[in-house]
Amino acid sequence: MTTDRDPLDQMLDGLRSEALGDLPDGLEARIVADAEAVLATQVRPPSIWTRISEAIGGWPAAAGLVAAGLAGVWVGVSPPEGALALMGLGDGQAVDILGGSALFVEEG
Amino acid sequence: MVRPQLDADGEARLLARFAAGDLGAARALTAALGPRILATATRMLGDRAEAEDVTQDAFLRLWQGAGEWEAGRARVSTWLTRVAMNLSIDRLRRRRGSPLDAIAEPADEAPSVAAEMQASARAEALRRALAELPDRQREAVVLRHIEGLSNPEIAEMLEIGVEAVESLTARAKRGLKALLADRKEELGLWDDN
Repeated sequence: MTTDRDPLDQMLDGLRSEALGDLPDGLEARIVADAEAVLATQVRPPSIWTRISEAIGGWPAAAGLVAAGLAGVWVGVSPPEGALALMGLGDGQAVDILGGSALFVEEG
Repeated sequence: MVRPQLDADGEARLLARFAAGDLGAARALTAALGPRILATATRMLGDRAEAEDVTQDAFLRLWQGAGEWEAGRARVSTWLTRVAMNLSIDRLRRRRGSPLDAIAEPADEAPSVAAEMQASARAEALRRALAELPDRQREAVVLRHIEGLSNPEIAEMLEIGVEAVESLTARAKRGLKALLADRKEELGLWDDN
């Protein structure tokens, strides 16, 4: 079966076969720039150490924490005498550092 | 320039590579799919500058959604076409503030619009006639003859029945023939019987 194609169909098909040239340079550059911007906004989940570091203020602070932690271990192992007194474990007297009822002040 | 053709899997692989951080994959997708999207938007809007905006906007939405793209959900090029169509229709609505099937305004006369077409009287006449079709009819014609979609595919994209697509296409062709009738002898077009 042969059919003469409708000339209009042929004309319309010409729309498709018209040379689809490359995108204009400016447009292609803008589209790719958008892609680059989207990639730049993607945040990779940080490592656990990065998150801890950022939370405490960076690695110098982390070093200080380590030092304080080590000092705490030392104090626990070999506490100075004053510390023992505060804990009521030594020979020193207990001191009420809060001064009685000073904490609770009623509004009058 | 012979542009490498991407099949559905090729498009999906490039998009996945982009989502993983490969900007080169975005360049490849842009080069492969961009020209047809621009052509479709240009035929819908009749304005090259607006068509470039729509094309850029459609790709931006693709880049933004790449990370959540579900494999097998849709073909990338089909999805892009649908977005470009919707964006074009939105612009047409805003341009006229009228119902979807209102008569189109004449196409932009700027040389850059005609630049992509062959410099022939027939092509120019067809471009003018197409621009005068109601939006919905023009959409069906563009999807069929520029995007090369079948009636079922057009039906899915326009969210209407296949019979409605056939009706739209038939009305569009009657409209085009009527619009071109005045110049049929000059252009060597068909004879009305």
